[in-house]
Amino acid sequence: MYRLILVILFGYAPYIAVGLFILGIAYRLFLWTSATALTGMYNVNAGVNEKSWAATTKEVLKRIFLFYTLQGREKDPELFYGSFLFHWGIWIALFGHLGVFIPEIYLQDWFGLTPYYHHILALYVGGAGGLMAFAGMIILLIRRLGSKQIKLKLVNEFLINLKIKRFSFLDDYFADSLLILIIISGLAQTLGITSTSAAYIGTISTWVWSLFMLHPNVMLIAGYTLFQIHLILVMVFLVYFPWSKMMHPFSYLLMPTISRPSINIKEEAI
Amino acid sequence: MSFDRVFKERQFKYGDVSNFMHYMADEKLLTPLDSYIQLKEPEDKVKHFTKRLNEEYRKNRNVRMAVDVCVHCGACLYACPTYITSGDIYNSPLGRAELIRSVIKGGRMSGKLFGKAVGAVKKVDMEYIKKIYTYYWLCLICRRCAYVCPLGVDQTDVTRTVRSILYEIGMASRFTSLTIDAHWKSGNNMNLKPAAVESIMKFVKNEIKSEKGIDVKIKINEKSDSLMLPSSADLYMNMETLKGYVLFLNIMGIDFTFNTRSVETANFGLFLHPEHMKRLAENYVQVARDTGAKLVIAGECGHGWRVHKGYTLPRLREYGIEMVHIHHLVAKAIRDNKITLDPNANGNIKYTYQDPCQYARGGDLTEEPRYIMKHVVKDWVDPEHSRGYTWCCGGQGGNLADEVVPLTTQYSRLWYEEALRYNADWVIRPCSICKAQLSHVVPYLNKIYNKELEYSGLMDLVYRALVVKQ
Repeated sequence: MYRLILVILFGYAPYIAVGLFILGIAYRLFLWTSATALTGMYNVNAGVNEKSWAATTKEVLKRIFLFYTLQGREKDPELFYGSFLFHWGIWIALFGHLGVFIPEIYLQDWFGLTPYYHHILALYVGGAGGLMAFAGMIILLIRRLGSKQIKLKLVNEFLINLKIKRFSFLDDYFADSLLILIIISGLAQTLGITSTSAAYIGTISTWVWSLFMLHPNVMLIAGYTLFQIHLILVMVFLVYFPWSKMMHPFSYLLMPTISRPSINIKEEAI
Repeated sequence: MSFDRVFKERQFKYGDVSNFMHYMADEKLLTPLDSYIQLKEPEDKVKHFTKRLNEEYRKNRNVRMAVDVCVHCGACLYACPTYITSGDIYNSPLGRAELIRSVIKGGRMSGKLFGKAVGAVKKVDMEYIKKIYTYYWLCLICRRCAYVCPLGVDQTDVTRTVRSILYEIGMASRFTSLTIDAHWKSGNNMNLKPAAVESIMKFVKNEIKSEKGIDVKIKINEKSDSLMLPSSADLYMNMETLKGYVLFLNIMGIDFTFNTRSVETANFGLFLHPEHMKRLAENYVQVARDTGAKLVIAGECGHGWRVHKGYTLPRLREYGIEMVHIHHLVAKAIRDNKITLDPNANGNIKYTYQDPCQYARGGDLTEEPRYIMKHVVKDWVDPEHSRGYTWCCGGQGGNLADEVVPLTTQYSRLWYEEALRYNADWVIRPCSICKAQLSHVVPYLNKIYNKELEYSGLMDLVYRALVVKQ
């Protein structure tokens, strides 16, 4: 019975979760692309001097990586630093997961990454990424639940109440909680590893590889409860992702207000 | 002062501005308006509202993505002039978004299963729709939220969509409806008849002769290489701006004409319904074709420029006609040394340039006006909140309506204080709505702050600085 549960959860469910994740994203992107109108306009760009694809790409990259339009660096540091830490932390951690997807032998052959250095990288870089994401998420959650006031000083001071809690709903809290649990369960493994108990090197990557090879060997991870919890949470995340606001990274591909250049005035007409 | 009565009747209360509902257009006004776009009012208003909201959500990418990807981070709250100054959460991008997102959610599986927990509204009725009307008409459509939002969520396009559906069920702001009706009937917002236009142009010609000593040529309704689209308010309130267009185009030797079928560059259809917007823009296209123009020149008007750039220009290009803003031509003339400007003519005054919202956010018209400023005045300051972060004048999006002046005076405190920060004496806002709004609120703000701030457009400065070589 235990084996059957393992087979279902870690032998079949990962395929279903990844499949729903990919299909869901494709479906969502289809819905966005099939909405072709722009409230009566030909163009609804809201940027400043986004006159070419190069300028538009630069603008989008600045928004993704630098969060530069968030004016709150001084006024609302929780949003700026919380977002910055969370997103950069997640990117580092996700990149680090490549070390689990690629079997040890290839890591060594292709990148010269010995188990020792793999361990050091996972512990320090992966650990730092996880901690950044965790700290960022906590900062953002506290900000969401709190009653922050922002001051805007011109001549007088304008006090702006950030009543985000009032418009935060079950889906927001569900997404936040899920992410926190994934980060904690991932971080506990990363920070808990030692060079002699690096399960991700020999065991988990072999299980991942067995999934890739379409011959899942679930018994490899039978003894790793924490990993199993992490995995179940990730699968829930993958299934939920396409139907939630977490789709927002993909919006940069299609958002007509910032990801499309505006209509140009022809120089020769002037 | 002009609005003292409104200030008494409708008092501003920080935190709750629900008393500033725009007066609604009555049936007498709506009937002709509906007929222009062949609109028939539905029988079941609530049902129509919900149905059309979902349709528009599915149809428009900007609306759909705005609703889908907002992560409720609240960055828009301290970007939005309406929320900063009013403190009413429903008078904010997030608040407005939730008013309709809750309707959309109500029709979804998650909304049916979890109800209020996911923000779905239980029952949409006329009372709820009235609340939506109140707050959606108080939005300035300034797009500051769209610029500041890291994801580019433009709540103002959602505002436009929701307003259009409200209009379909017979709920439209009286002021905006009157303006659009005038535009349909006379080709301009001010209801200026051809005889009035001709008389004003004669007056302008004489004024320029006496002030600048030059006989200018003003063609009206003639075939021409270029069609000049002034704001109708330029013929009425902003005469110096109009003189600026005429003198500059004459000095440059540009063959241009005005046309009494479109002595306008504005398009209030943007604030009410895309069909009105498109059809009023089509009038500009038709007049340009009838004039035989190869170039259409837009005058100083922010929202008008947005519609021209986002709709009129692509349509004109289908007929091989191009379009530019008057500021493009002036900046080019300065660069090419085609005109001589004397900054002394604009006195020892400290000016500040404030971008009209729609020139900056999506309008790509931020550097030309600054380049002109450098050449027409001796002392000016570019404020911190400029370009993408510029403050709205407070009267955009149909909010020039008399009945909301006590509230829009509050909205205006942001740009006003921005000017005071730099000890500016004179604000340059080259947009017709800005100038009209400033005419409403500056007397009150000057009284509140005990200052004597003045304002004008940019072509006014160009007019004074232009040196006429005899």
